[in-house]
Amino acid sequence: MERKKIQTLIELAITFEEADQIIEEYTGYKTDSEKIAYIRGMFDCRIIGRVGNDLHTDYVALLTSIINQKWR
Amino acid sequence: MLESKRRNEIRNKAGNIIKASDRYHFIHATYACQLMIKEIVSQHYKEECRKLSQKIREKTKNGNEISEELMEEYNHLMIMAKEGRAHIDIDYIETSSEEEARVIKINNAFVINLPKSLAQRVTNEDGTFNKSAVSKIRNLMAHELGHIVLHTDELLKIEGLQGSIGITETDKEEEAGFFANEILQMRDERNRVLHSEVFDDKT
Ligand SMILES: [Zn+2]
Repeated sequence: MERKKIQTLIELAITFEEADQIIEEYTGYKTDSEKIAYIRGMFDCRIIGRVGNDLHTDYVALLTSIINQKWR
Repeated sequence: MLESKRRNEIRNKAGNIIKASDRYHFIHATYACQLMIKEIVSQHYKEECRKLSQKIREKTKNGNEISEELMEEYNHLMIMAKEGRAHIDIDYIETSSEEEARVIKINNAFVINLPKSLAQRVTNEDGTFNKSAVSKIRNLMAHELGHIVLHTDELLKIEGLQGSIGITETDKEEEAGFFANEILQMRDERNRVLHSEVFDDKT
């Protein structure tokens, strides 16, 4: 139930910052790799191409794609 | 005759569309990549539809109802065909540098994520283009399109189309880089020809 609630709140978020805050608040995860693992387990999303290898950009791209999918 | 108020509204709308279109770069190539993926997927599933339709006709020849098993096969086919119908989208995100970009596969979309700061520099204050920013974005786009057309076979869930399985991440990067160089060179070449033709017309 808690998981479904978090998923719903992430999906309803408008900005990356908002969604990130929800994840931190409800899961306690602080690092990008923890957060990436968490959202990848929750949503059907993955990185299939990249330029650069900054981990934080991985996280921003994944989470932004998740919250913006409702507009696509 | 249009009222001047309405003319202004229309002019504003056209201006907003022009501004929005500045956010998209290499859009023809993006659209072409999308068509290519759709073509591959639909070719595959057209064949599957034909096969299943044949099967249903044979099994219901004597007035039989469609069996549950066949209905399941039909439902599965419809879902798979729909899932394979991926489209390409562009989004802008905060990145640590302008040398970062990502393609994310989420549901039916391939989302190309580009640096927001770069996109903001595309037009100068006087409305002209910032050529270096445009060329940087175009390079990132070309590279990411390379990943989409070269390395997403398995994501389209089509058997026998798994060209990128077993390729290492390093190889994928090299392939995407090579693709970007090739497509940008071809584009430059084509533009040169196109512009020289336009020039010839005028003289
Ligand atoms: Zn790459």
